Amino acid sequence: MDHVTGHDHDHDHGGGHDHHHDHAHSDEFLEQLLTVGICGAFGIVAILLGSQAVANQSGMLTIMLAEPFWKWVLIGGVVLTLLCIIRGVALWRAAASPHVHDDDCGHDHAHGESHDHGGVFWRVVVLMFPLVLFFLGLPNQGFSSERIGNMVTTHDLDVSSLKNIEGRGDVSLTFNDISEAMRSPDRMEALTGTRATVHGMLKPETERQFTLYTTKMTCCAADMVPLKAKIVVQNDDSGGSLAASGYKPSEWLKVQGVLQFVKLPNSEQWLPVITTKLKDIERTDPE
Amino acid sequence: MPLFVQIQDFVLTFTAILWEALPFIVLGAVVAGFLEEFLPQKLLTRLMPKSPLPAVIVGGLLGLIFPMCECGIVVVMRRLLKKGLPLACCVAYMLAGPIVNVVVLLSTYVAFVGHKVGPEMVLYRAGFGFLIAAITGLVVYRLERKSGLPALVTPSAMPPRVAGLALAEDDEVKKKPFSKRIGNVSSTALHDFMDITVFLILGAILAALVKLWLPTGYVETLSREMPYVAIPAMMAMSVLMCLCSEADAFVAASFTTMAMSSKLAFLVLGPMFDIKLLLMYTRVFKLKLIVTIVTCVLVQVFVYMTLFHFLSDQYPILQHWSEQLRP
Repeated sequence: MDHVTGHDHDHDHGGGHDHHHDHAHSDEFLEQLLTVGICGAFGIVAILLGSQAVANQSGMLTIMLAEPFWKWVLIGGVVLTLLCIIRGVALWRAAASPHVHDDDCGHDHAHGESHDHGGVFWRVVVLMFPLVLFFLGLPNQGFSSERIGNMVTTHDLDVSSLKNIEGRGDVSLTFNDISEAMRSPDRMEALTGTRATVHGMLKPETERQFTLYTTKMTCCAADMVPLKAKIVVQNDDSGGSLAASGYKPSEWLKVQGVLQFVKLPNSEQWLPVITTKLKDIERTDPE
Repeated sequence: MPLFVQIQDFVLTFTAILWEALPFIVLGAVVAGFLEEFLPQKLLTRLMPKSPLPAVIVGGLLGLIFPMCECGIVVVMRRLLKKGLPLACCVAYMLAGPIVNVVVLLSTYVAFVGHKVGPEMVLYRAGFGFLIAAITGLVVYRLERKSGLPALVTPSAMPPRVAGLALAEDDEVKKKPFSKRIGNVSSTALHDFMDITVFLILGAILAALVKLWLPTGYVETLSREMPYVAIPAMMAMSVLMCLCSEADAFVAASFTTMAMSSKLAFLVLGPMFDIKLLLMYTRVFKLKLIVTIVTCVLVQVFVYMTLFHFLSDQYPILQHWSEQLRP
């Protein structure tokens, strides 16, 4: 840092050593204030994001992060704000008293490092970026349907390999339920043959097959993965077809049909397959 | 895709990476503040093994005691380094810590248990992660002996003794009033938080830009057709995607038709090196050391995973031994 208006003094950083250099204390104090200010702003924004998500299950954080992380953002914000209050009080006292240049002076001298105090200003500019996004109300929606659709891979399915199962029961299943069931052969066995109703988005494939999918966030939107099921439309008396129904890619559908699991060739993976009829497919509201 | 939609997707990815990491950065900064103020330097020096091999082994297993994710661990590691923990030990802790810890291994198990390879993935991920971290630690030890610590780490991470300054006497430190010590904790914590978060933001911006155009579906197809190409492809993806080590197993598990070796490459490399970490490393290490660590990690991951792929082709039991253990 250029200490144009600086003065010389010896001081003790409290680390058991003395050294000697120039300081422009006003610049240094300003930098300390900027540090407390920008960190405090981060803390407050984290509290706002976290409290809205935890209290109302709504807001930006619910789009960005999975539920278990909401409270951690809130706690992180509270801790950061407390640190800023403690630091702010220390700075206040330091400013009010005759200048004793010790640890309370606050700048963390990396000993032997050039005192690059000026770097704090460009860092503040970078740190402002997510805060500006927050005040602009961004992000305000999940991933685009185009992007999610691109994530979904499809698998060719030989329809003749499907078992002809008589449906039983009538349960509403989520893709999470189906995904959980696929962790154990016993649970897959238990669900096989269930007459299930699932909601998801459409990825068209052939005249008689499409993939129905939704997304699952484990920690944050960046790790979002699609959960999917193959839908096989059997012939019925209506004489209609998928194409004639006019369903569009990424459109939300409710499908009722008989669930079974098919092992993918050359793989240990299973694919949930729902056999249904055209009359049991209908449009539904996005979830 | 329209530009406006791409910008919205970019903003979501960027903010998601940032706010997910934020609590862990705060935690790391607070731990760093307490370490700086309350951990006597002499104690650390006394406790650590003097020989390099035991030191890197301890460093590689430190994550079991101090579990941290890869973002928070950089902050803590820098303070430990500044406190006098050997560089090789710090590097081993930084690389292995985000993998060899209970939370991450449990999430790996949960992600893969449905694919019948839960125990296998946990063991291989922890084993390869530890091995790569320990060997990289030893390489760094040799480099440090040759070049000296000042040539490898930034002044902000330099222990006072190496910086040519006397060590703080513990007795002197004890004389400080508690309120002043808490003030010092907050000062260090805020400094570290600000220092690291800047580079987390820059890394998250890069990662979000890359993710906009990352052809994940293409990589999966490639893996089916050319498994040996899939290993470097998945390594590249782990570097570009910047996922948290607690979540990456679920993403890896979603590549349903991919070979186990490619998924392991993704899971072992990601917590050790990605775009955001690269930028965060610049606050601790000089270019020479960053190049050494990154090269060492990349080469090892590629070699071990290729060998693993070859061996598991020859001996399929390697991929499914847990099946044999079931009663």
